[in-house]
Amino acid sequence: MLHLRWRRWRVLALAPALLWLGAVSVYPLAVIVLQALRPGTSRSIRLFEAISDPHVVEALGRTARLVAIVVPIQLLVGVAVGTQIGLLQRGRTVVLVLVALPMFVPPIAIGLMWRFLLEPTRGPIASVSKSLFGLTVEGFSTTTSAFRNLALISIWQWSAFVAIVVAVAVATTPRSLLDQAFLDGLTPAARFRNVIWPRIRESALILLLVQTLETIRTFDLVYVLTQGGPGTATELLSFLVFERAFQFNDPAGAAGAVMMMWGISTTLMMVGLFVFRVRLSGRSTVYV
Amino acid sequence: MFTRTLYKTNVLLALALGCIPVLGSCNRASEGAEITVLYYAGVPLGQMMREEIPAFTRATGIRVTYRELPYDAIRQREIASITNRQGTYDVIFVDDVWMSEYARKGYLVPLDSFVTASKVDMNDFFESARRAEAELDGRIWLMPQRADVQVLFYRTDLFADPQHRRGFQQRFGRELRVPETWEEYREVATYFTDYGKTSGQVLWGSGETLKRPHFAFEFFAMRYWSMTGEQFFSDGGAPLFASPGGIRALEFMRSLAPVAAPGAANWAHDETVSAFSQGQLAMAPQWYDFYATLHGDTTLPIRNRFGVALVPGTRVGPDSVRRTPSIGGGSLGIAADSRKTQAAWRFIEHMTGPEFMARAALRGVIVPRRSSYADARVRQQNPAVDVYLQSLEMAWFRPRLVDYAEIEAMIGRAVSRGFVGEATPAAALQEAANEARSKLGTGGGM
Amino acid sequence: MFSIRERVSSAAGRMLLCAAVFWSVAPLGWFVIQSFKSRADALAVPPRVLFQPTLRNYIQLFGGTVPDDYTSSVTVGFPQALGLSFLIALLAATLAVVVGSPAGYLIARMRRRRWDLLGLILGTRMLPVVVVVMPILAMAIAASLTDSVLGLALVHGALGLPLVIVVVAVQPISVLERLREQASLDGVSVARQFAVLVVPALFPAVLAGAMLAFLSSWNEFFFALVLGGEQIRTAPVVLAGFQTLRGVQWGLVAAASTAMIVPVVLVVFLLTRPMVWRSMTRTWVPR
Repeated sequence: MLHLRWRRWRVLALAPALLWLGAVSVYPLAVIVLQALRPGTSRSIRLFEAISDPHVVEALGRTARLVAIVVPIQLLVGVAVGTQIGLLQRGRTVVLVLVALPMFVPPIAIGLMWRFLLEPTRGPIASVSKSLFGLTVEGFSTTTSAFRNLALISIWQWSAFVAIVVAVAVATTPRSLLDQAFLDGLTPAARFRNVIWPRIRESALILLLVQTLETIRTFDLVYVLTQGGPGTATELLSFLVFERAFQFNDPAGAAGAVMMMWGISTTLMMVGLFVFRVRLSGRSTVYV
Repeated sequence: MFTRTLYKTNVLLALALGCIPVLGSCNRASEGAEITVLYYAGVPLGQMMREEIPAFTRATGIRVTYRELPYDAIRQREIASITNRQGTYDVIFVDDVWMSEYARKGYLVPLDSFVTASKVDMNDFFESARRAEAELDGRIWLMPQRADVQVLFYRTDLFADPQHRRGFQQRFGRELRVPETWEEYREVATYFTDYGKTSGQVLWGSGETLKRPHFAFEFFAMRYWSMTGEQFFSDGGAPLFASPGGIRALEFMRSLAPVAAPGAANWAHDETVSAFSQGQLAMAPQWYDFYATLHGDTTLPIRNRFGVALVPGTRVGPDSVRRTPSIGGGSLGIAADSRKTQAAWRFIEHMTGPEFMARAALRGVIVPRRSSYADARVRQQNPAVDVYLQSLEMAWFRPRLVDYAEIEAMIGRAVSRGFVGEATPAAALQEAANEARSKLGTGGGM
Repeated sequence: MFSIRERVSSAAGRMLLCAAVFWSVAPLGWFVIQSFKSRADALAVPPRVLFQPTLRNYIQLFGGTVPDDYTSSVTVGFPQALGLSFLIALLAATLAVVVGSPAGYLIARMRRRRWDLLGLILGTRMLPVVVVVMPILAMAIAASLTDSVLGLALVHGALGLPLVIVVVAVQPISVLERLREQASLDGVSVARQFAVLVVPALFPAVLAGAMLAFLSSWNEFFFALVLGGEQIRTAPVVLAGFQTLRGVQWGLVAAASTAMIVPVVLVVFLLTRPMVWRSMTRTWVPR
């Protein structure tokens, strides 16, 4: 007979995962921290210098604005669409695949595709918009449109991800529960609140956190589409980090901005976790 | 661990470089050697070199592994390989703006001894190409392979159209012709953009290429140099571009915003060229190399209806206009961590030699050797080659600084901000100048 | 029998789905169509709806040069790159699932410190890739794992691992655990409990996690560029190479993107057809 002694198996189950993750995150972080805190050479930039660097501070503001716009919409759209997909009886896989298509393509290709689509003088959207609505499409040529379109593409790209995760969670809802709720006379909204939402609540909150962190890291799109421009409209924190680390071959300079990113992300995460622990400690409802 | 290795490597390289001139003259066997070449992907010259490799191997016995990478990735890869002493690449592609960084940081093997030993005639290369792509601090670091220069593409049919000639004469009181000065350029652009708006045709007067960071910088540079007659930095490394002249140059760029095609603030080369090729632009300052693209494609709406001219300039005398197109291009160099420098040199010698380059010129490649243009057939392939040669004579090169990438990003950012009106030209340039001053100390000079 | 509210709600739901499908598919569908256009048709303004389809982009992508195309260069190795991408993504996903599912299940069972651990795991995704790349490159050089399938798969697997763990960890398992308790009391061995109860219950989540891990490796660019080299060039790297200084080779980009979608769609369809979805709609009845 196999006896599972939980403590030992717990270690065995968790240790490889944690070690592996640590190797690709803790070690590089340590390297970066060391570089950021190293005194003396004229090229090293320490943490407080990074904080006082106006470019970094402005980039922080832009990144925050992007997160504030993009993440709630991604979640809203993703939860709504994901719920609908999860509730489908037939053709669920087909719809899921179709909705998830943005995730099957590398971000570089997505960036290039949208660059072409939104091109103000020759892009298809501009042509259609001009002939049908008489509206011009600015693409990425003005500061406001560049930021707006960056947000739109980010939403387009990631709502699919949220939808998939939510759809999987909703799909595991036992049919009987929904049927029971329906028979009990609950409205569709109430059914969502009482049956579906408790099942996806954790996923949704995790997604909120994950997507916030992911949006803070937005880089591929900026790199392909605008390189931080026009002006500084899309100069996000991650782009600054890239510029300093890669194009200027100055990892020490990047380290400061990275520390800031990491500091903010860690703070957000701790706040988020605190909220989760508080809100999710009581799992009520009948339909579980 | 990583950074210690980096420092140790730099020290080692510095020492090693000191020894190389001595070692380079040693007889290092090149027969039967194998070298790795890294070039950037997507250009005809790369294709030609690849096709040439079998002939090269037959002639020298040296086997070649030819690798390509996208342009954006190639510099990182080269630097990572050399600083980690991996010895992966022997012959590397070096863009002219990287020359200062590579040479001064010890990423390259100086070629003087090789050039002397192989009796290469450096005078066959155009002087501007030599200065921009090969020589620095009195030594030869690279062999120039390709030299591009900025020119002005324009629509011959629009300039010849009687309706436009009349309209322009009425509005501006002078004849419609290819602009000689930047003020004339703006007038022509204004005329055609207004025509495009009123007639409902998809037409703009000019297409500007101002995406951050390279494009904004290089298309500002050709106006800045022309209007101020100065470089971006003094010999001592002090920034000169926030001067009244520089501010005027950026203000000129800002004044182009209403008459340039929309999208200018985020256009890279291919977007401008594409818009021009679809007949949407009356004029487009661009790199000469795109002439091959525009001339060779017979399906384009503008075929046989466009021409190439010298870029406009600034009037500095009754009969003289200061035109300052930028030169740009690439060269081949020997990586400092290469263990087969002799074989690497043989490859470079062959691929930048008069025979190969003459053949490349016949295929339309813009090579920097005088002798390659002697053949009359080159003109058949490349009808506008005289404009190219003329422009090359008057071309300026971009700042030769070790931290060129950073400088270009700073100034390009300022140009972009000034162009879209995020900041006044004066404020944007001042900010960039202050950053340049503080980040670079004494900088790298010319 | 169904009230107005029900009907409106379900109609609204259907409309939302249609809109969602259109919104996801339309831009990509356009791009796929672009891949079948000749260069002139692709760049034509206004966009050409009727055109003569051609396979020249695919021929160039998978074979050699197309004659008379002065902006082309020989595209080396896209088929190989596609194959490599697939292999590495498969390996990475497998590794992530093997290591991540037990961890995820364990965390799902935890009452205390659960969110601390999940937070830690998610935290590994906080650092921007561009900065983490260089230290990881140094490690890879030290371990001689550059330019190798295994090296890249290990890194990609690490990217997908948090996804697998989290997807499994958030599954509601209270019912499952009750069933397991019951089974234990009934004298069912742990191994059989796992085989009959746990695995089928968590299978959809594991599968979803596996697909997410597969996708994050499939689309990944930066590590592939830096850790790859001559032998290892994945599809995104080759695709990025179609941006030359002379311009973007749009035909090739469109064709390559289309070519990258197809295997993924096939894999997803194959994996989700049979057992998965059916098993989830069954009610929980102890066997």
